Amino acid sequence: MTRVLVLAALLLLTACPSPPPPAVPTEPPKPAVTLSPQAKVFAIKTGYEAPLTLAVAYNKRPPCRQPTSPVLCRDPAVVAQLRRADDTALSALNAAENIVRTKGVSDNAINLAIATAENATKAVAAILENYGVK
Amino acid sequence: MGALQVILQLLALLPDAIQTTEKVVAIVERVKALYASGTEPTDEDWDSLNATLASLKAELDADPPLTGV
Repeated sequence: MTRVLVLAALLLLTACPSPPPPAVPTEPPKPAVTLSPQAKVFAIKTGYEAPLTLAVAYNKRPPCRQPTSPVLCRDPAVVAQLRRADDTALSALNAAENIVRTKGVSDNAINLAIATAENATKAVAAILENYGVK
Repeated sequence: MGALQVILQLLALLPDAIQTTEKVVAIVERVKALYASGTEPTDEDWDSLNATLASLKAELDADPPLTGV
């Protein structure tokens, strides 16, 4: 009976259309038009929703336990890393937003803020990638 | 852990996994559209985006219940 159930479950799994793996946008697509600093930061900030969504999904997994863990589980240490990286990324993104929405800020300051925000969001994506979170 | 248990666990997680994938794919498409159009965000666009990120952050910072699959 168990074998029949396992076989049925396997058939069900293979019958389901497998969704494409989510692509965390670590590199922004090449812009077709020249983006203003505001538009650029807005696009980066929008893109950050993707790794953050994956991090939230990871946090909703059942906890890992010893000696038997669920197949897909959340490790508190990884969650802590994600939370720290998210704090840094959101701070950098908010700082970049403030800078590009303020008139009279130098191009250098704008470029530095954008680069810092991009790097901070990549750090979150890197943690997810390191732990195979998809 | 038996094979049946593993399969049942994966099946239980499948709807959430599909939903997450769909969300991420939609975000990627939105970002592509932003880079393609170069549209200037309005104050409402910023507010909406910041509210979404704040909501996601709250979810990440919250500890889910200990009971799981």
